[in-house]
Amino acid sequence: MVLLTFVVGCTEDFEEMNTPSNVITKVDPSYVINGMFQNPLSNYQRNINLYPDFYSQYWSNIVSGFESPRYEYVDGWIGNQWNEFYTGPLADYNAQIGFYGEDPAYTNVLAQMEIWMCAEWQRMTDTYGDIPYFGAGTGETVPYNSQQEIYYDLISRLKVAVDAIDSDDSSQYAFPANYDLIYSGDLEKWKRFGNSLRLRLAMRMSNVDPDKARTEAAAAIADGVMTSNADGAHIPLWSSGWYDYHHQMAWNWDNTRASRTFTDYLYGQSSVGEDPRAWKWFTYKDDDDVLADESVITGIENGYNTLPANAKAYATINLDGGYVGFVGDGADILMYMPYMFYSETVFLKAEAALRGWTAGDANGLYIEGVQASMDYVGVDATSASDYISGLPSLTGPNEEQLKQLITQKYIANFPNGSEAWADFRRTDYPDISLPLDGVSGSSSVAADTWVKRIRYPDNQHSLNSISMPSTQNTVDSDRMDIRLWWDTADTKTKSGGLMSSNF
Amino acid sequence: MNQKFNYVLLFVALLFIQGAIAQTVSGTVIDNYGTPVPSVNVIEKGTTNGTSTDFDGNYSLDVSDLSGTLVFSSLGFVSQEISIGGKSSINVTLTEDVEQLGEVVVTALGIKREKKALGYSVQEVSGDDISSAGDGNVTTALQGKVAGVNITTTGGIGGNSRIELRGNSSLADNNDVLWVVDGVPFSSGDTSDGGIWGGTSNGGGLLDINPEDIQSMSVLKGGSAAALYGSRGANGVVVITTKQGSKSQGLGISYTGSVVASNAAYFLDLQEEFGQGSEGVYDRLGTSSWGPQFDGEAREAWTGEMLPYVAEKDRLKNFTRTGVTSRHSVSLSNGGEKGSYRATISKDWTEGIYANNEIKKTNFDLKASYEINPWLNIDSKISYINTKGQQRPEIGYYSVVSYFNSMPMNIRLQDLSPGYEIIGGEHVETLYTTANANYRNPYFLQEQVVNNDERNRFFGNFTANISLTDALKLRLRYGLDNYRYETESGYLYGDNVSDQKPNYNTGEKFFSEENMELLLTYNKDLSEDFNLGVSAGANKMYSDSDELSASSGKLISEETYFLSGAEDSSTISATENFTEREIQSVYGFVDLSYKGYLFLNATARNDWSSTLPDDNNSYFYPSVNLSGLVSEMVEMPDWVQYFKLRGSWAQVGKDTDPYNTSQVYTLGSGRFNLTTSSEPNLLVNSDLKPEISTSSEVGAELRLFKGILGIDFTYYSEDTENQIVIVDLDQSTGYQGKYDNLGLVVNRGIELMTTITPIRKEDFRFDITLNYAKNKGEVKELVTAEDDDEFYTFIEDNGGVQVRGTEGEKMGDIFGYAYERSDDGQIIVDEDGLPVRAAERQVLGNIQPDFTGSIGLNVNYKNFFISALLGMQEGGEIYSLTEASAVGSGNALRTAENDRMAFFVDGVMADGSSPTQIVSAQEYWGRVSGITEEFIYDASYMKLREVSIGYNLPLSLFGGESNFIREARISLIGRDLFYIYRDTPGTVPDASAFSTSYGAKAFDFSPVPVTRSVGCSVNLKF
Repeated sequence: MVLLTFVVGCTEDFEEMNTPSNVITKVDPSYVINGMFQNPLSNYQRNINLYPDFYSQYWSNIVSGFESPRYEYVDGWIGNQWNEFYTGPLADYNAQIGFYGEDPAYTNVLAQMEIWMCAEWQRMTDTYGDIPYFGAGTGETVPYNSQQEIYYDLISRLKVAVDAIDSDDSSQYAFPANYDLIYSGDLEKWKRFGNSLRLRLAMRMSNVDPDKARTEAAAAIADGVMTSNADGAHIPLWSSGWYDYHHQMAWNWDNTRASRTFTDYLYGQSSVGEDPRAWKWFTYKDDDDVLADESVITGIENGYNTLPANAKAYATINLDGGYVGFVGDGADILMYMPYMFYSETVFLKAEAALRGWTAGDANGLYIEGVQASMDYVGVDATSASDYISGLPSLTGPNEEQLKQLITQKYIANFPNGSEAWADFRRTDYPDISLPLDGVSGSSSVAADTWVKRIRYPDNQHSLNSISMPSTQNTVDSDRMDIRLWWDTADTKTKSGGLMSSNF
Repeated sequence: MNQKFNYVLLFVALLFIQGAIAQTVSGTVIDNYGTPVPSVNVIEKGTTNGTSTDFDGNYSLDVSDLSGTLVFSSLGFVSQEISIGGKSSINVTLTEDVEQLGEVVVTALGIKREKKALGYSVQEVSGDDISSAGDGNVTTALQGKVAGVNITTTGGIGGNSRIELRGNSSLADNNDVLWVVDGVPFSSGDTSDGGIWGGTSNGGGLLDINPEDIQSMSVLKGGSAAALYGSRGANGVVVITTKQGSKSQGLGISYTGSVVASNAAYFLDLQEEFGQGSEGVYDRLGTSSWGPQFDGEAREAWTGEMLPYVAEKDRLKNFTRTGVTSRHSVSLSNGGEKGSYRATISKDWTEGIYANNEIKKTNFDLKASYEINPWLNIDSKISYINTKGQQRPEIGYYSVVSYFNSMPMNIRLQDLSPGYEIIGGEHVETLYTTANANYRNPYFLQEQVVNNDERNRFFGNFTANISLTDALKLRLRYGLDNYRYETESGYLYGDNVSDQKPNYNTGEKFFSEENMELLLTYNKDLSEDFNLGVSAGANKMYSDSDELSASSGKLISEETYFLSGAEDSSTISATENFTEREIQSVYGFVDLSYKGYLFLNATARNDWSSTLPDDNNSYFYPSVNLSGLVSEMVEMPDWVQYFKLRGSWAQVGKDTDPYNTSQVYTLGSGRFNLTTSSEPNLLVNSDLKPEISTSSEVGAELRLFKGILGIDFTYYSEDTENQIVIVDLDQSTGYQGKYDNLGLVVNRGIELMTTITPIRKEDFRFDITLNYAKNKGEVKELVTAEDDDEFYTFIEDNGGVQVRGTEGEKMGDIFGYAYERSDDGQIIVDEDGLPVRAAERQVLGNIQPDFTGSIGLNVNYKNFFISALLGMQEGGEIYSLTEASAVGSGNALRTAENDRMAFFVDGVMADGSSPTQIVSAQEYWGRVSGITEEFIYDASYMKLREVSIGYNLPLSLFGGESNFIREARISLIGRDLFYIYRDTPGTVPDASAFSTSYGAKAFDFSPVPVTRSVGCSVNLKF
């Protein structure tokens, strides 16, 4: 027996032994926010450019065989967005709640993460509609929740998170400034971002739930939204490593060109004719075919079946336009992906005023929104004021005013395709074309109908179809022309260029 | 250096030469059949003076007293005592001991047991059988020698091997066999496999074993045989006993040497009629062989010269060299009354068929045994092994084989060589077309790519055998396996394909495993009829490995091929990796025998593993087996000498890899050089249970017609459930997958080993050994609540060809693309006149063979001997990815059919009408290359795996038996000489996988050309 104990010891240290020594078991909050903030950029092309950027018609595809512009779903492209959100930021955030949720010193940083998560949740539900929300990302399969439930919850979470931030409490753990890639540790900006997101959520419900929308929009504005371009939320993109942002896609890879829809809006809006932002954003590539008239910016139409031979001749991104904020030169400068412009906030306020939900001056705010965009893009004061003074004032029927407002918002929001596509689905403004050569043969969108959402990924169909909304739980019924909860009207009901559903 | 060492050994040996010369008795020992019996112990009774007979049954013993008695004993024979009576020559005929007919074999825990008492199948292979063909790799040398053992090798010399005992039971491809050398587990670690996209193959730790040092190998295939090894033995165990010292005449020195030359021998069949270009038009920078027919006329070549337009034949063959393997092994051994020792030094130098590719190995072994006093015996063995691999070849699409199989047929080797020009002090690749990863210069790659490794290993044990009483014995053993493994890989020069070269990577790993073991054995005759043996033991295994690797990122220039030579110091990175695991075990077994013909054996073992969760970390393995000698129980006809029936049942479990049960976080460097960490994509499972295999087998052994025919038959079944695999999760859980227990894989099979000895005369013996094995592995259950997939994908290539295990089906289905066919089976042709590929993948074959077998022939005639081993497989399919790729580039032989005339594809349009569009050969084969069905071949083959022809030189040549040289043998050896039949297009079906993973067997994708080897070996004893 003595010998036996010599050989066989105790097994109490097994658990420690089964934990490797080059790992940690509790993750500092700053270690996860980098990945959380970078998530929308991780696969920008597959998740955003090939879908929202094309569906908002900021960009057009010039790669033959890419069928997402003709409303085709590719699981290997946007199907990743689901995986990347749920197994990325969400899982990381849930773990942080587990580590620090009970520790009062982490209130501020958890609230910052909470604000970010609410923004990402909205992008997710606006992509798909109903999604697993309550309890998601905790290791268990959970039911899908309705978009309404999700919106209501996000609004209240944002309010709680913004209220929780105390920028004067020195006992709080704070992200090192270089880790807070969005606001460099400025908690007041985080609060204004939170309130602005709440305003964005509220206005999204304008048609489906106007009472709730009005209350929340007014409350968010009262609590303090963004006040200047310095408040805008932008995600820095590290150009030293792999990235697939516009500089690559439009210039290096020749995958995209400006959309004709968008470039058309750069002319004729103001009496001055050309939008002074046009050449800041776009130019022509010297080594490509030449268009007949290169004195104006002309994009290529969306939804070709067979691309024209001179597709590359159309306008592409301008690397030298002085507006490097979202372009970069691909070398040593920081690039930014706009997540929420200050101008968007102003346009949201303008719309709230137009709807009579707040006391503000809709036309004044509308002008302020255009000016904010001009400032952001770097348009000189004279050109900007010439353009603005040439714009017609908001007058006439509400639908007409809204169309004008949303059109300017659409221009100002460039290149934030996710937001522009959402505005189009909600308001059906501005006018966005159908795919030139019709939908692709394997698209689930009915002919002559606009795409309204992205279908659930294969992973859900094969492993979680039991939790899906019963009307969308097969690959066939999970159509991309089903309107989301907040999207109340079919674009086809537009008459004389106007909808009748927005008021 | 070798030479010097030999002298040292010789000097040491001289010290042991016996001093006084007394009277000598000599003679020959034969058996009933007149066959000389080697290794018979001849002892002068009452003394410790003794010797043993040589290969020809001869012995010679100096005795102190010519009136004494000699005792002749050997396993399997009745001992005889013969009084010397003053004679100087005594010849003896030993009679076979029926009681001992089944020889003694080494079983679990190194316990030697009479084979007749075993209730399960054990097949033992002698060291001679392993080393006779001059193969320095113990794994490949085992190939074809044991029924039910399938070994697939890949990657050229020193490449990795897969050993499958009785089929694949594991969905997660967890099939590692436990190797035990002299009672101590021997790590097979640090193997590497290539994949479709690259990598190198490395046979890992098993290359360290020296075949010359092996006395015998027991292959414990079934659960019962391996149950005493617990979780680590669940996939089967190979138990190696190394040679030990014995009393020898003469100096006790033996030398074995061999030189073997290997040549690339098996290549894809290529056409030699068409050259560079497209659609019949010559293009000097073209990348495929769709150009015009060769006409010998001068054309401007890619080099700018005017060259005759002809095929460059046998490029791959001429690119390779003859790889010479030389092996030398010297051992010194002796023994006496109290103990014995054996010291061996071996040097191996194996050259690959690619320049610079070689494996060098040094083995030093010292084994000693000493009886300190009547109750204490100490055994110890220490080995030091150094194995160096240099320039292991790349595998996959970016391998030399792939480049040559797709290179336009007129490109000349002489224009590609040496592969580079020196421009501005840097090596610049010579390219026959524009830079692209698919069109590289093999000569350049050979110089550019670095894949080196070196392992220094200490391995050994210290064992004390203590006799507490006559019946009660205790064995204590400490075993250590410890090695340092270094790797170096990278690119010496830049190239035009990637801007991340040159670069440099280095790594080192320290591995250590300790085993402390005790075994208490009690053996007693309960009565005249009953014997009882009871044993109890315990083992503690602790292993850990520490790994550190570093890489430079892009280097400043080829002059700065070292870590700090990075262009940007921020790209220099290091990673470390640790693993640690412990298994504690207690075990026991009971042997009960009745009248020497009925044997019952039961074993039990309990393991506690550190890699499983607390609540599930203890598991128990029982086994029971029964053996009965029917021929002893009842009267048998004259022609039945031996008839044994046996049966066994066992249950064994497997744990999992470390760190699968607790959630941990690694730190990394993210964008903007910020520290990052994130939730792992795999959810840990704290409820993980061990995998359980339940196996049973029944069998019979027969010896008929006075030993002319021997039959050993086994039927077995093995059910493996609770398999630990990664299950895909619904991603909204926050995780992509988790480790889970699921599935049931069932393997059923039979094994038949037959030995036939039609001729057994004094100077002429002829033996035939037939091994036959049939196994069917089936996936019975696969589905869990969370996973509604009905199949498990083992592998998928870039073209979508998969190997699957589908629930309810035979495991290993090959899924790929077939032709779209009409109802009456005709190929559907599209509007362009080309065959249509079916949209959905379908089963096109299965990788499991119907059966495998081998035929061994041994002839001994006077001083000559011949042995040959044929290996075969019947059934099973293989997909020739090699050919599919070469069809696309117009290089495969079949693309030259009909002189590449444009033609109407034999098929029908979707509406049933005849094709209206004529197609060119290039269009046609371009389409066909993506249709898997066209490249599915029967994997059946038969080949001459090994042959050796030898001659024992008469000792009279060296001046008689008492001379310095006591035994001399020369042999000619050959390996993989030819295939008697095979179906694959020039390639081989049995050694073409790009990795050793289960599914890779489905692909003919020759990573390195398969060789044919011939050589000779010399054995000398002094």
